[in-house]
Amino acid sequence: MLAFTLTVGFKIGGLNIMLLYALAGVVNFPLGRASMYKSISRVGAGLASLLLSTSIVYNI
Amino acid sequence: MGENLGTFQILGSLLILASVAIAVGSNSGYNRLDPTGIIMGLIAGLLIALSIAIARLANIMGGDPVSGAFIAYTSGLLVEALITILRGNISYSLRETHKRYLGSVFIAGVLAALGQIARYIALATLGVSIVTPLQNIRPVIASIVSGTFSKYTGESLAIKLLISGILAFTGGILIYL
Repeated sequence: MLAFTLTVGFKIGGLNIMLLYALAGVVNFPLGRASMYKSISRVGAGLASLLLSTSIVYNI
Repeated sequence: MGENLGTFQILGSLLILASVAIAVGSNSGYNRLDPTGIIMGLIAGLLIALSIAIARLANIMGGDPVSGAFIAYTSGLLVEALITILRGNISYSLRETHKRYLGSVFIAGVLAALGQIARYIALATLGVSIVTPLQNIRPVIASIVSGTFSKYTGESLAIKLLISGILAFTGGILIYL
């Protein structure tokens, strides 16, 4: 990711935008992905990934 | 955020929700009716959708998506590291718990990174409306792979789960029509 970003060029649009991206990352990884792994350990990868596909419904 | 909710979007959403209901109700394979696992999966879907919406808001405000992805990944990793340190079990986790699974976790990490690179290349060449529904092939692939390696995963190749995955994939395509 770092190599890709450095190749394409790093541009920060402002503090608000940077904070929004940081918030998106925190919501996605330590919260969202952690819940996903907990789900996988309890119901298996097949059903967990299906439950995860509901994210498309929430996004419209 | 400038997106319309039409007939195809409603139909696609219903198809995805129906596929989840069928899969949860099929009670086949691996502890399918574990309520905690099902709730955690739905929470994960909600949080990841929220994350996408926040990132999209930042893009609309003029943010650069590539730099944004870097900031998001780095922030997520830092908070994840902080949580692990606060839990105080890093050395225990590495020495004992994860020893057996370290190889699998490493392969999963490398595959996830390769997947992200492929996603960016696809987004750059095809666009969001084509790439996002294609990504929803995951439940089908996960069911097949987990079923194939049932000896290790404990999951049987459940036909109802596979059909649910195909329905969810179709729903994803309808949403982006």
